Amino acid sequence: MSYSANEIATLAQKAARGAGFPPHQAQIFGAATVQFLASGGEAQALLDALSDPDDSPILRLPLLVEDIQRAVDLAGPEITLTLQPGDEALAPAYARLTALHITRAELGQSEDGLPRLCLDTAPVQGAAPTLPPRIAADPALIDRLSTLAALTYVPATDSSRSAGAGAGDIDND
Amino acid sequence: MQARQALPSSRSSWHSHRMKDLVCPSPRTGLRPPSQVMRLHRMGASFPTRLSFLRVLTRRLAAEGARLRRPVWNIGAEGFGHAVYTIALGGHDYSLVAVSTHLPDEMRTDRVIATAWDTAYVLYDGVPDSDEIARICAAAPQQEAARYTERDLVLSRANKSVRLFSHVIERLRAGRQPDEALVNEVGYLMRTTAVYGNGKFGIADRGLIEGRPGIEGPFAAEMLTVWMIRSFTHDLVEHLGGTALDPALKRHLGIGNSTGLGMAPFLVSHPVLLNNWMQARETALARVRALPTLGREDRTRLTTLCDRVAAHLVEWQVPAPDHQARIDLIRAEWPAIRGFVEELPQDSPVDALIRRSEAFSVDTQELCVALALEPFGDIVDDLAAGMTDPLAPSVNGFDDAQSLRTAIETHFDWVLRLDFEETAQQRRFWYVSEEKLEPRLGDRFDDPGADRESPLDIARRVQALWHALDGVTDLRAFRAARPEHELAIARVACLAAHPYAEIRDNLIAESCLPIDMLRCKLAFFGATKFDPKSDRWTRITLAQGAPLPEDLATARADDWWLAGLGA
Repeated sequence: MSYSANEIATLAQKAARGAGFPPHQAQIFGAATVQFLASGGEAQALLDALSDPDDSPILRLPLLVEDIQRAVDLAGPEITLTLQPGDEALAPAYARLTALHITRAELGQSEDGLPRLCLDTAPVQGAAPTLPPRIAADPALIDRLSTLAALTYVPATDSSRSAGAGAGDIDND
Repeated sequence: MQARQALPSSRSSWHSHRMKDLVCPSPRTGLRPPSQVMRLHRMGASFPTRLSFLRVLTRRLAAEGARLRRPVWNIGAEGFGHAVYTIALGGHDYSLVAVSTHLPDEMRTDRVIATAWDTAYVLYDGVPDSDEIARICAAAPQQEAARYTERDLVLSRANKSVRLFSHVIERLRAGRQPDEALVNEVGYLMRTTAVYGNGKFGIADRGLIEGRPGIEGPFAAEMLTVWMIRSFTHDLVEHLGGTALDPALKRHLGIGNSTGLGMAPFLVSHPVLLNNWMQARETALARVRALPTLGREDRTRLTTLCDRVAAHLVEWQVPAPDHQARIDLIRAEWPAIRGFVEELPQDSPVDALIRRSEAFSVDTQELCVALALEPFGDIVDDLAAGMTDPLAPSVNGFDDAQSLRTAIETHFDWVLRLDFEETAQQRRFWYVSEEKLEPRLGDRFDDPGADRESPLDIARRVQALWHALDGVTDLRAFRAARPEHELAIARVACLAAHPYAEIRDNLIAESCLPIDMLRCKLAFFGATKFDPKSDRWTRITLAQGAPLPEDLATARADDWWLAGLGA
C-alpha cells in the first residue's frame, strides 16, 4: 500500500512519541522517515531506531542536521562526518532534511572503524526537490508504527466526549 | 524621510500615482510589536482582511478571468446524486466532485466523530473521467474511512442547515424568495465540518501543488474547494426549488463551517507559517500607517466602508451572551470611529485612525486594522505572496549556553514571569482522543490522559530550559544529555528569527481560551460571523458576500469585505 508523505511523516512522528522519544526528535524522525522510505530504505532500520528511547539515532541524528550545515559553512560543499555506530542507516535520510541539495551521500568507515558519511552538497536553487507522490511502505512497518502511535491517544470517556471537545449539541439547526 | 519628500504635492495626484516604493516603511519600521499582537485575547479579536486567503483566491480568480463550469449534474428529484464543477486556474484544471446522499436527522452532527454527512466533496486535480467520478462517489461519503489518491487534492463534507435549506426550497417552490431575515440569521445552506488537505487519508501532499500559480498560497486549494461547494449548495436548492434564487440573497448565502479544537494546535505546530501570516498583516498595516496623506477618493472609501461595517455589526447576532456583548460594544463604539474617519487629519491619517482606535475595545481596534487595509490593495496585496513557509527548518544558531539563555530572556521574557507551581498555570492539557483522533482539552488534575499530553506547553518547556541551562558551560554536551529540551531550543531559535512565531500566552493555563486561536486562524481564512458555541468550538461563515461565479468579471470579485445583504 502507498501513502502520502504527510501520512508517513505524521504516523512516524506519533510512533516515535509513543515509543517514548521527545516531541522535537519525534517530529524530525517523521520527516526523515519519509526521506528514508522514498529512497528505498528497509523498514527494519526504522524499527530498530524506535526500539530504545534512551539510545537511538532518533536522539542523535537531529544534531547531525545542524552539523552538516555548519560543516558546509566552514569547509565547503564536500564534507565528511563521523557517525556513531548504529546511526549509519538513517543518516543519509536525515542529511536530506538540511536546507541543502545533497548531490551525493555515501557511507564509509574511518581508520578506527567508525562509520562516516560523505556528502557532496549544493545550495538549493529554486524549488526544493519534491518527494514522489506516493510513498510505499511495508504493511508490517505501518502496523508497528500504528501500534506505537496509539500509545499517544487517550481513551475516550463520556466526559471527554462532551467537555473535552467543547462541541455544541445543536447540530440540526 | 526621503520617501515623503519624493511624494507628489497634490493629494489627488498622490492617489493616482501612489507607488509601493514610496510608501513602504522599512520592513520592521512601525510594525506593532509581537508583545501586543501575539496575545491570545487580541488574536481572538481578529477580523478578515484583504490578505485573508479566500479573498486572495477570489482576486486571483478574477485576475485570470476564471470561469466555473458544471459539466456533470446527476442530481435526482430528491436532491441526491453527484455533480462535477470544473475551473481553470494558473494553467491547471481543478474539479469539485460533489456527492449528495440521504442523511437521517439523528445522524447529523458537526463533530469529527460523525460517520455520515449530507454531502461529501473531493477537489480533483484535472477533469475526472467516469471511472474517477465513480471512485470518488464511492469513497467521499465515507470520508476518513476511505483511501484517496494523489489526484485528490482536498476532501470535505458538509451538513445542511436544516431549517434554512428546507425553508429556501419551500419558498422557491411556492414561487417566492426566502425570508431575508432567516437568510441573514443562518447565512449558509450548508456548513462544512472538515476540509482536509495535505496528504490526509492518501490525498495529495501539499508539496505536490505548492508551486502551482493560483493555489500556491496557504490553504488556497481548501479555499477554492469551499468557494465551489458554496456554488453547489446554491445550485442544489435551485434544482429542488425549481427556480432561481435572487442574486443578492444568493451572494449572502456563504458556506458555514463548524470548527473545534482540531484547528488550534496548527498554530503552535507551524510557527513559521504563523509568523508569516502575522508579519504580512502587520507589514500591511505599517505600510498604510506610513501614508503621509490621503486623497478624497480614499477618504470617501473609508467612510463608505465604515457604513458597511455598521451594517455588518447589525447583521451579526449570536446566541452566546458573552460574545453578543462584545459585538454590542463594537456597535456602541463604532459611531465614534466613523466620526473620526469622516474628519481624518491631513497628516498620517491612517496612523491617526489606528492611534485613535486604541481608546476603544480590542475588538474595535482589530476591526479598525482590517478597515485600514481595505482601500489600499495597491500597496498591500503583494504581501500575500509571503504568507507561505517554503523554507527548511532553521538551524539552531546558538554557539553556547549563555547565548541561548540570553535569547530566552530577550524573546521569551514573558515565560519567565509565569509560576508553574500554581495549579491554574498548568490546569489544562491538550491531547488526542483515540475516538477518531479528535483533539481535546483535559483537566490535568481531574481527567485521565495527562501522561499522553500533546506538546503545546511551549511556555512551560522554555521556562524549564532556562532553569536547566543555569551553570551549563558546554551546550553541545547539554543537548546530548538532555534531549527533552530540544523542542524548547528549537522554539527559541525560531522565535529569534521569526518574531510573530509564538502565541505569547500559556496555552495550558486555566485561563487559556482556545476559541481565540480558532478565531485568529479562521480570520486568516476569511471567516466572518463568528458564533462561538463554547470556549473551544465555533461556527462561522465563509464566503458570505463573496462573488458568485458570474461576478468574477465584476468589481465584486475584490470588493466584498464584510459585505452584507444590502452591499
